Amino acid sequence: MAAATDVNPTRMELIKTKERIKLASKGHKLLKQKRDALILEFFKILKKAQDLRGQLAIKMAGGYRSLALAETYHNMQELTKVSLDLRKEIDIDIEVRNVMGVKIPNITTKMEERHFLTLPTYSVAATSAKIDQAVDDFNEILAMVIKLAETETAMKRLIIEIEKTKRRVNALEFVLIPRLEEETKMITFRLEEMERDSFVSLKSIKRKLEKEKKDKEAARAAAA
Amino acid sequence: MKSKIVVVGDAPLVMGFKLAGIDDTVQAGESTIQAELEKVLANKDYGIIVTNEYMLNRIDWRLRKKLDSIAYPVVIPMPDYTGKSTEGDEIRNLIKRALGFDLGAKKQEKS
Repeated sequence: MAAATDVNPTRMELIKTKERIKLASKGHKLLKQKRDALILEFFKILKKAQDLRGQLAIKMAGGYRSLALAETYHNMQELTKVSLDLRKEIDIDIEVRNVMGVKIPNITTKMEERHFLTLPTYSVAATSAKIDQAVDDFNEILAMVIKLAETETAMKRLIIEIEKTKRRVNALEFVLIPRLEEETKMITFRLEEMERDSFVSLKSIKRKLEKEKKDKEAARAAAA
Repeated sequence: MKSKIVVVGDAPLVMGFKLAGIDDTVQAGESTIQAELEKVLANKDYGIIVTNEYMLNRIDWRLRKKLDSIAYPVVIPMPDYTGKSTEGDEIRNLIKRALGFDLGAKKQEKS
Protein backbone atom coordinates (compact mmCIF):
# COMPACT_ATOMS: atom_id res chain seq x y z
CA MET A 1 0.00 0.00 0.00
CA ALA A 2 1.20 3.43 -0.87
CA ALA A 3 0.40 5.05 2.44
CA ALA A 4 2.47 2.56 4.40
CA THR A 5 5.66 3.45 2.63
CA ASP A 6 5.59 7.22 2.79
CA VAL A 7 5.15 7.69 6.52
CA ASN A 8 7.74 9.42 8.61
CA PRO A 9 9.67 6.76 10.51
CA THR A 10 9.71 8.67 13.76
CA ARG A 11 8.78 7.65 17.26
CA MET A 12 6.12 10.35 17.36
CA GLU A 13 4.48 8.95 14.27
CA LEU A 14 4.59 5.48 15.78
CA ILE A 15 2.78 6.62 18.90
CA LYS A 16 0.21 8.44 16.80
CA THR A 17 -0.46 5.43 14.59
CA LYS A 18 -0.83 3.17 17.59
CA GLU A 19 -3.37 5.59 19.02
CA ARG A 20 -5.26 5.52 15.75
CA ILE A 21 -5.36 1.74 15.76
CA LYS A 22 -6.77 1.76 19.24
CA LEU A 23 -9.46 4.25 18.22
CA ALA A 24 -10.27 2.36 15.03
CA SER A 25 -10.70 -0.95 16.82
CA LYS A 26 -12.91 0.69 19.40
CA GLY A 27 -15.05 2.15 16.62
CA HIS A 28 -15.07 -1.17 14.85
CA LYS A 29 -16.36 -2.93 17.93
CA LEU A 30 -19.10 -0.36 18.44
CA LEU A 31 -20.19 -0.46 14.82
CA LYS A 32 -20.33 -4.22 14.94
CA GLN A 33 -22.63 -4.04 17.92
CA LYS A 34 -24.77 -1.48 16.12
CA ARG A 35 -25.01 -3.73 13.11
CA ASP A 36 -26.05 -6.70 15.21
CA ALA A 37 -28.67 -4.67 17.03
CA LEU A 38 -30.07 -3.38 13.74
CA ILE A 39 -30.24 -6.85 12.27
CA LEU A 40 -32.03 -8.11 15.36
CA GLU A 41 -34.59 -5.34 15.04
CA PHE A 42 -34.93 -6.02 11.35
CA PHE A 43 -35.78 -9.66 11.85
CA LYS A 44 -38.34 -8.75 14.47
CA ILE A 45 -40.14 -6.61 11.91
CA LEU A 46 -39.60 -9.10 9.13
CA LYS A 47 -41.58 -11.69 11.08
CA LYS A 48 -44.51 -9.30 11.19
CA ALA A 49 -44.24 -8.28 7.56
CA GLN A 50 -44.13 -11.70 5.92
CA ASP A 51 -45.15 -11.36 2.32
CA LEU A 52 -47.49 -8.43 2.69
CA ARG A 53 -46.33 -6.75 -0.51
CA GLY A 54 -47.10 -9.74 -2.67
CA GLN A 55 -50.48 -10.22 -1.07
CA LEU A 56 -51.28 -6.57 -1.51
CA ALA A 57 -50.43 -6.67 -5.21
CA ILE A 58 -52.80 -9.60 -5.72
CA LYS A 59 -55.53 -8.01 -3.63
CA MET A 60 -55.07 -4.72 -5.42
CA ALA A 61 -55.53 -6.32 -8.81
CA GLY A 62 -58.79 -7.85 -7.53
CA GLY A 63 -59.84 -4.55 -6.04
CA TYR A 64 -59.31 -2.68 -9.27
CA ARG A 65 -61.33 -5.27 -11.14
CA SER A 66 -64.29 -5.12 -8.78
CA LEU A 67 -64.10 -1.35 -8.79
CA ALA A 68 -64.15 -1.27 -12.58
CA LEU A 69 -67.16 -3.58 -12.54
CA ALA A 70 -68.94 -1.40 -10.04
CA GLU A 71 -68.19 1.61 -12.20
CA THR A 72 -69.73 -0.02 -15.23
CA TYR A 73 -72.91 -0.96 -13.38
CA HIS A 74 -73.27 2.37 -11.64
CA ASN A 75 -72.07 5.77 -12.68
CA MET A 76 -69.45 7.83 -10.94
CA GLN A 77 -71.96 10.02 -9.17
CA GLU A 78 -73.61 7.05 -7.57
CA LEU A 79 -70.32 5.63 -6.37
CA THR A 80 -69.33 8.97 -4.92
CA LYS A 81 -72.66 9.17 -3.16
CA VAL A 82 -72.17 5.74 -1.66
CA SER A 83 -68.67 6.63 -0.59
CA LEU A 84 -69.96 9.65 1.27
CA ASP A 85 -72.06 7.35 3.41
CA LEU A 86 -69.11 5.11 4.09
CA ARG A 87 -66.87 7.59 5.82
CA LYS A 88 -65.32 6.25 8.93
CA GLU A 89 -63.03 7.42 11.62
CA ILE A 90 -59.65 5.82 11.63
CA ASP A 91 -57.45 6.58 14.57
CA ILE A 92 -53.85 6.36 13.64
CA ASP A 93 -51.20 6.93 16.21
CA ILE A 94 -47.76 7.40 14.79
CA GLU A 95 -44.78 7.60 17.04
CA VAL A 96 -41.28 7.91 15.75
CA ARG A 97 -39.03 5.39 17.42
CA ASN A 98 -35.30 5.66 17.40
CA VAL A 99 -33.42 2.43 16.88
CA MET A 100 -29.66 3.00 16.92
CA GLY A 101 -30.07 6.34 15.23
CA VAL A 102 -32.56 5.10 12.68
CA LYS A 103 -35.89 6.78 12.96
CA ILE A 104 -38.69 4.33 12.29
CA PRO A 105 -42.39 4.96 12.60
CA ASN A 106 -44.38 3.02 15.13
CA ILE A 107 -48.02 2.89 14.13
CA THR A 108 -50.98 1.83 16.19
CA THR A 109 -54.42 2.00 14.69
CA LYS A 110 -57.89 1.84 16.03
CA MET A 111 -60.44 1.22 13.33
CA GLU A 112 -64.07 0.57 14.03
CA GLU A 113 -64.90 -2.60 12.22
CA ARG A 114 -68.17 -2.11 10.46
CA HIS A 115 -69.31 -4.71 8.04
CA PHE A 116 -71.61 -3.37 5.40
CA LEU A 117 -74.03 -6.28 5.72
CA THR A 118 -74.49 -6.07 9.46
CA LEU A 119 -74.68 -2.33 9.49
CA PRO A 120 -75.44 -0.99 6.06
CA THR A 121 -74.57 2.64 5.85
CA TYR A 122 -75.82 3.04 2.34
CA SER A 123 -78.97 1.98 0.58
CA VAL A 124 -78.84 -1.72 -0.14
CA ALA A 125 -81.85 -1.52 -2.41
CA ALA A 126 -80.45 1.17 -4.69
CA THR A 127 -77.08 -0.44 -5.18
CA SER A 128 -75.92 -3.73 -6.54
CA ALA A 129 -73.63 -6.41 -5.22
CA LYS A 130 -70.86 -5.01 -7.42
CA ILE A 131 -70.51 -2.06 -5.10
CA ASP A 132 -70.58 -4.33 -2.07
CA GLN A 133 -67.75 -6.33 -3.60
CA ALA A 134 -65.67 -3.27 -4.31
CA VAL A 135 -66.27 -1.89 -0.83
CA ASP A 136 -65.31 -5.18 0.72
CA ASP A 137 -62.16 -5.46 -1.37
CA PHE A 138 -61.01 -1.99 -0.60
CA ASN A 139 -61.70 -2.40 3.09
CA GLU A 140 -59.35 -5.35 3.06
CA ILE A 141 -56.82 -3.36 1.08
CA LEU A 142 -57.03 -0.54 3.58
CA ALA A 143 -56.31 -2.91 6.44
CA MET A 144 -53.34 -4.25 4.51
CA VAL A 145 -52.06 -0.79 3.74
CA ILE A 146 -52.07 0.11 7.41
CA LYS A 147 -50.21 -3.08 8.27
CA LEU A 148 -47.81 -2.39 5.44
CA ALA A 149 -47.21 1.15 6.69
CA GLU A 150 -46.13 -0.31 10.01
CA THR A 151 -43.58 -2.64 8.56
CA GLU A 152 -42.41 -1.55 5.16
CA THR A 153 -40.93 1.83 5.92
CA ALA A 154 -39.24 0.53 9.02
CA MET A 155 -37.81 -2.40 7.10
CA LYS A 156 -36.56 -0.24 4.29
CA ARG A 157 -34.92 2.24 6.58
CA LEU A 158 -33.35 -0.45 8.71
CA ILE A 159 -31.97 -2.37 5.79
CA ILE A 160 -30.36 0.74 4.33
CA GLU A 161 -28.78 1.52 7.66
CA ILE A 162 -27.61 -2.08 8.04
CA GLU A 163 -25.91 -1.89 4.71
CA LYS A 164 -24.19 1.36 5.58
CA THR A 165 -23.03 0.05 8.94
CA LYS A 166 -21.84 -3.16 7.42
CA ARG A 167 -19.80 -1.31 4.87
CA ARG A 168 -18.22 0.78 7.60
CA VAL A 169 -17.44 -2.29 9.68
CA ASN A 170 -15.81 -3.97 6.74
CA ALA A 171 -13.87 -0.86 5.76
CA LEU A 172 -12.44 -0.63 9.24
CA GLU A 173 -11.75 -4.30 9.55
CA PHE A 174 -10.24 -4.95 6.16
CA VAL A 175 -8.80 -1.63 5.06
CA LEU A 176 -8.07 0.90 7.75
CA ILE A 177 -6.86 -1.31 10.58
CA PRO A 178 -4.58 -3.48 8.40
CA ARG A 179 -3.12 -0.36 6.85
CA LEU A 180 -2.39 1.20 10.20
CA GLU A 181 -0.85 -2.02 11.40
CA GLU A 182 1.32 -2.08 8.33
CA GLU A 183 2.38 1.45 9.12
CA THR A 184 3.41 0.63 12.68
CA LYS A 185 5.33 -2.38 11.45
CA MET A 186 7.06 -0.22 8.90
CA ILE A 187 7.96 2.42 11.45
CA THR A 188 9.27 -0.01 14.06
CA PHE A 189 11.28 -1.73 11.37
CA ARG A 190 12.81 1.54 10.21
CA LEU A 191 13.53 2.63 13.76
CA GLU A 192 15.30 -0.62 14.56
CA GLU A 193 17.22 -0.39 11.37
CA MET A 194 18.33 3.12 12.20
CA GLU A 195 19.37 2.01 15.67
CA ARG A 196 21.49 -0.81 14.30
CA ASP A 197 22.93 1.58 11.79
CA SER A 198 24.02 4.09 14.36
CA PHE A 199 25.29 1.31 16.59
CA VAL A 200 27.52 0.01 13.86
CA SER A 201 28.83 3.43 12.92
CA LEU A 202 29.56 4.22 16.56
CA LYS A 203 31.45 0.98 16.84
CA SER A 204 33.54 1.72 13.78
CA ILE A 205 34.27 5.26 14.96
CA LYS A 206 35.36 3.89 18.30
CA ARG A 207 37.56 1.36 16.58
CA LYS A 208 39.10 4.09 14.44
CA LEU A 209 39.71 6.31 17.45
CA GLU A 210 41.36 3.46 19.33
CA LYS A 211 43.53 2.63 16.38
CA GLU A 212 44.62 6.27 16.10
CA LYS A 213 45.41 6.33 19.80
CA LYS A 214 47.45 3.15 19.50
CA ASP A 215 49.31 4.51 16.48
CA LYS A 216 50.11 7.72 18.33
CA GLU A 217 51.34 5.79 21.36
CA ALA A 218 53.44 3.56 19.13
CA ALA A 219 54.91 6.64 17.42
CA ARG A 220 55.67 8.24 20.80
CA ALA A 221 57.32 5.00 22.00
CA ALA A 222 59.37 4.87 18.84
CA ALA A 223 60.45 8.50 19.30
CA ALA A 224 61.48 7.96 22.90
CA MET B 1 -49.55 11.87 17.53
CA LYS B 2 -53.02 11.51 16.06
CA SER B 3 -53.03 11.47 12.32
CA LYS B 4 -55.05 10.62 9.25
CA ILE B 5 -54.68 8.70 6.04
CA VAL B 6 -54.64 10.61 2.78
CA VAL B 7 -54.84 9.17 -0.70
CA VAL B 8 -53.08 10.94 -3.53
CA GLY B 9 -53.43 9.22 -6.85
CA ASP B 10 -55.36 8.50 -10.01
CA ALA B 11 -59.13 8.18 -10.23
CA PRO B 12 -59.49 4.41 -9.53
CA LEU B 13 -57.22 4.58 -6.51
CA VAL B 14 -59.03 7.56 -5.08
CA MET B 15 -62.46 6.03 -5.74
CA GLY B 16 -61.45 2.73 -4.22
CA PHE B 17 -60.21 4.24 -1.02
CA LYS B 18 -63.26 6.47 -0.85
CA LEU B 19 -65.31 3.29 -0.81
CA ALA B 20 -63.11 2.03 2.00
CA GLY B 21 -64.14 5.06 4.00
CA ILE B 22 -61.17 7.37 3.57
CA ASP B 23 -62.33 10.94 3.55
CA ASP B 24 -59.16 12.78 2.58
CA THR B 25 -58.42 12.16 -1.04
CA VAL B 26 -56.61 14.14 -3.65
CA GLN B 27 -56.96 13.21 -7.26
CA ALA B 28 -53.81 13.82 -9.23
CA GLY B 29 -52.38 13.08 -12.61
CA GLU B 30 -48.80 12.44 -13.53
CA SER B 31 -48.23 16.14 -14.12
CA THR B 32 -49.76 17.35 -10.88
CA ILE B 33 -48.56 14.60 -8.53
CA GLN B 34 -45.45 16.49 -7.49
CA ALA B 35 -47.27 19.62 -6.40
CA GLU B 36 -50.03 17.65 -4.70
CA LEU B 37 -47.58 15.50 -2.76
CA GLU B 38 -45.72 18.57 -1.58
CA LYS B 39 -48.97 20.12 -0.44
CA VAL B 40 -49.91 16.97 1.46
CA LEU B 41 -46.46 16.72 3.02
CA ALA B 42 -46.76 20.22 4.37
CA ASN B 43 -49.89 19.24 6.27
CA LYS B 44 -48.78 17.58 9.47
CA ASP B 45 -52.19 16.01 10.08
CA TYR B 46 -51.51 13.28 7.60
CA GLY B 47 -49.60 10.29 8.87
CA ILE B 48 -49.98 7.84 6.02
CA ILE B 49 -49.89 8.87 2.38
CA VAL B 50 -51.18 6.31 -0.07
CA THR B 51 -50.18 6.92 -3.65
CA ASN B 52 -49.70 5.24 -7.01
CA GLU B 53 -46.40 3.54 -7.52
CA TYR B 54 -46.05 4.47 -11.16
CA MET B 55 -46.62 8.11 -10.30
CA LEU B 56 -44.09 8.01 -7.52
CA ASN B 57 -41.50 6.94 -10.03
CA ARG B 58 -42.16 10.07 -12.07
CA ILE B 59 -41.57 12.68 -9.41
CA ASP B 60 -38.44 14.69 -8.92
CA TRP B 61 -35.60 12.68 -7.39
CA ARG B 62 -35.17 15.27 -4.65
CA LEU B 63 -38.72 14.81 -3.46
CA ARG B 64 -38.33 11.07 -3.83
CA LYS B 65 -35.26 11.10 -1.65
CA LYS B 66 -37.07 13.17 0.92
CA LEU B 67 -39.96 10.73 0.95
CA ASP B 68 -37.54 7.87 1.41
CA SER B 69 -35.69 9.44 4.27
CA ILE B 70 -38.42 10.83 6.51
CA ALA B 71 -40.10 8.71 9.18
CA TYR B 72 -43.26 10.78 9.30
CA PRO B 73 -45.45 10.69 7.31
CA VAL B 74 -45.23 7.19 5.91
CA VAL B 75 -45.64 6.94 2.16
CA ILE B 76 -47.14 3.76 0.77
CA PRO B 77 -46.90 3.23 -2.98
CA MET B 78 -49.70 1.07 -4.36
CA PRO B 79 -49.30 -1.34 -7.25
CA ASP B 80 -51.40 -0.64 -10.33
CA TYR B 81 -54.14 -2.82 -11.75
CA THR B 82 -51.72 -5.26 -13.33
CA GLY B 83 -50.71 -6.29 -9.83
CA LYS B 84 -47.07 -5.76 -10.60
CA SER B 85 -44.98 -3.99 -8.04
CA THR B 86 -41.38 -2.96 -8.12
CA GLU B 87 -41.45 -1.85 -4.52
CA GLY B 88 -41.35 -5.38 -3.11
CA ASP B 89 -38.53 -6.34 -5.44
CA GLU B 90 -36.64 -3.25 -4.40
CA ILE B 91 -36.79 -4.17 -0.75
CA ARG B 92 -35.87 -7.75 -1.48
CA ASN B 93 -32.85 -6.59 -3.46
CA LEU B 94 -31.80 -4.35 -0.62
CA ILE B 95 -32.06 -7.25 1.81
CA LYS B 96 -30.09 -9.45 -0.51
CA ARG B 97 -27.36 -6.88 -0.78
CA ALA B 98 -27.19 -6.08 2.91
CA LEU B 99 -27.63 -9.47 4.50
CA GLY B 100 -26.39 -11.68 1.75
CA PHE B 101 -29.35 -13.93 1.24
CA ASP B 102 -32.43 -13.87 -0.92
CA LEU B 103 -35.56 -13.68 1.13
CA GLY B 104 -37.88 -14.62 -1.71
CA ALA B 105 -35.94 -17.77 -2.43
CA LYS B 106 -36.04 -18.76 1.22
CA LYS B 107 -39.77 -18.40 1.35
CA GLN B 108 -40.31 -20.57 -1.63
CA GLU B 109 -38.26 -23.30 -0.04
CA LYS B 110 -40.44 -23.22 3.02
CA SER B 111 -43.74 -23.53 1.25
